[in-house]
Amino acid sequence: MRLAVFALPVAFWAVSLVAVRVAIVPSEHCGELTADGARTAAVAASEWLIAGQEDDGSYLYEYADEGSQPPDSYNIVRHAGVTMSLFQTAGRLDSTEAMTAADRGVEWMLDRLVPHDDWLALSDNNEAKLGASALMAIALAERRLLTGDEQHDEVMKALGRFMASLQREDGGFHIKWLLDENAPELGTTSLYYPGEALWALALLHEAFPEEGFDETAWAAADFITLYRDEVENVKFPPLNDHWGAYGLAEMVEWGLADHHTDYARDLAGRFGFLVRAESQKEDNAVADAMRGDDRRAASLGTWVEGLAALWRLSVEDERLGDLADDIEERARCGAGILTDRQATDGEAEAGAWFAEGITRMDDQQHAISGLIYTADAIDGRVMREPGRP
Amino acid sequence: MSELLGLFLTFLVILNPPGLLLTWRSLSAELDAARRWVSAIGGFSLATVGLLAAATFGDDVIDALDVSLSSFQVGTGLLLILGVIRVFVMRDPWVAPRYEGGYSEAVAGLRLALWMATPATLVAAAFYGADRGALDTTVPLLVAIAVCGAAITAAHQVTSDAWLLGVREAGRGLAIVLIVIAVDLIFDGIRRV
Repeated sequence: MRLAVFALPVAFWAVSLVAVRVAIVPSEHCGELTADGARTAAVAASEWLIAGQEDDGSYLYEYADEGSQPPDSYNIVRHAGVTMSLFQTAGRLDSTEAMTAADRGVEWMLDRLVPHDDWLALSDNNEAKLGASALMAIALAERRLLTGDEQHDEVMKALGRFMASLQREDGGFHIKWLLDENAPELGTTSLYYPGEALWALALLHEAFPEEGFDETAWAAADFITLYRDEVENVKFPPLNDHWGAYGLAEMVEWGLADHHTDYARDLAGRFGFLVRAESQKEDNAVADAMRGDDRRAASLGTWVEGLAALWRLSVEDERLGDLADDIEERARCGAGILTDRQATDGEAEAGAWFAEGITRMDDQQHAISGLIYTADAIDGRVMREPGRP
Repeated sequence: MSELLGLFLTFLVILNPPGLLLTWRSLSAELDAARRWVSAIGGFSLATVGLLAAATFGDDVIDALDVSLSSFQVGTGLLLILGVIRVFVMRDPWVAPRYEGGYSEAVAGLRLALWMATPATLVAAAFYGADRGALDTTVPLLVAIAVCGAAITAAHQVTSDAWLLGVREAGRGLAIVLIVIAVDLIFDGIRRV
C-alpha cells in the first residue's frame, strides 16, 4: 500500500501520456522548405508533365514504376487542370517550355469544344461536364493574365455562358449537359465542380466585367459557403474544397460577406487539420496502423493549394488577418512534405509523386500549384497573377 | 468577459478548489496543526512552481515535442478528461488512499503537490502559456492558485457533514464544467489551422 499510493497514479499518468502522445499528438514532420526549394520542385514536376506530353497535346495520364501496370484511361477534366498548372508554371516561374506545352494542351481542348446556342463546352464524349469547361476557362484565364493575348476571349466567354446555363436556383450547378438528350442531367451533384465553376466565373468576371459573370459567381459562392455541405451530406464539414478557396480569394476585392469569411475560417481549419494529420505520419508499423498510408500528392497538393489561397484571402481581408501566419505555416508544412516525397531518381520518375508505385498527372498538377503559391506566401507575395509585385 | 477573467475561471475549474479542500483534509487528517502548515506550504509551493514553470515554458515544451499548438491543444483536452474521469466513477473521489508508511509532513506535502500539479494541469498550463502568452497566463493562474491556497487553509475549518457534502458536489459540478471545457478544447484544436 505504501508503494501503491504513488505507483498507481504514476502508472495511470504514464500510460495516459504515452497513449495521447502516440495516438493523438505524435511529432509532426514538415521538412525544411524555402521558397526557392518549392519553386525548384514545381519546375521539376512540370518537366515531368512536359516530357510525357503526346504530339496531340494530351499528357501522360498515369505512369507506373517497375512492377505495376497503369490503366489505359484519360480524363478530360484533369487535362484542363494540368494545362492550368502549366500556365501557372510559365507565368510564375518563367518557363517557356511550360508555356509551349500548355498551349499544346489548349489546342487539344479547342479541338473538343461542343457548340450549343450561345455557349461552348469541353467534351470528349456524349456529355459535357461542368468541371472540364470550368478548368479550361481557368486555364485560358491564366494564359490571358500571363500573355495579355485576347485570341481566346470569345471561347472564354462562351464557356462562362455554359457554366451559367447549368446554374440552379440555389446557386449550385447541374454537373453535366447530356449532348444526346440536349438537356442538363438532373438530380446529380458533384463535390468539387461548384468550386471549380466559382473560381472560373470569378476569373471571367475580372477579365470581362461587362458580361455579368459576377452574378453567377456570387450565387455560387453563397451556395458553397451556406448549402453545399448539407446538399452533399459532407460528414466532416466543411468539405476540403481548394477550388472554393481559390474562388473566394479571387473575389476578396469585390467585398465578401461575413458568411463567406466565416466559411473561409472553417475551411482553413479543415485544411490545417488534414496537413497536420499528414505531417504526423511516420514510416513504421505503429504509425501505419494508426494513420494509414501517405496520401497521394493529388490530395495533399490540393490542401496546400487551398491553404495558399486562403493565405492570400487572410492577408487581404482583415476579418481573417489573425489567421495569416498560421495558414502560411501550415501551407509551408504541407509543401515541405510534398518536396520531401517527390521522386528525385530515375529519368522517367524524377519530378513526380508516386503512391503505391503509380503517379497520375493530377498528382503533379496539384503539387505544382500548391508549391508555386506557397512559395509566394513564404515571400509575402499577395497577388496571384504573374508579373505583378 | 475579459480574456484574463475567462482564463482565471478556466484555471479555477481545472484546479478545482473544492476538490483540493477535500483532498487536503484527507491527506493531512493525521497531522497536527503545526505540521499541516509546514506540509501544506511545502506541497503548495512545489505545485505552484511547477504550474508557473509549465505556463512560462509552454512554447518550449511544444517545440521539444515537435508538435503544433493545435495538436497540443487536442492532447490537452484529452488529458484533462482522463484526469477528471475518476470524479465520476468514485463515490468519494477526493478521499486520498491512506499512506501506510506513517504520516510525515513531507509525504503529505508531496502528495498535495501531485494532486494539484497533475500531468493534466501542467499540460493545460503549458498550453495556455503557449497560446495566450506567458504573462497573460501566469497572472490568472496565480490568482486561481491563490484561491486554491485559501481552500487548503479552510480545509479543517469545515466540519459539518452537510457542508462537506456541499463542497464535494461543488467539486463535482466543477468537474462537469471541466469536461465541457476539455471537449471544447478538443474540437477547437481540431478546427484550428
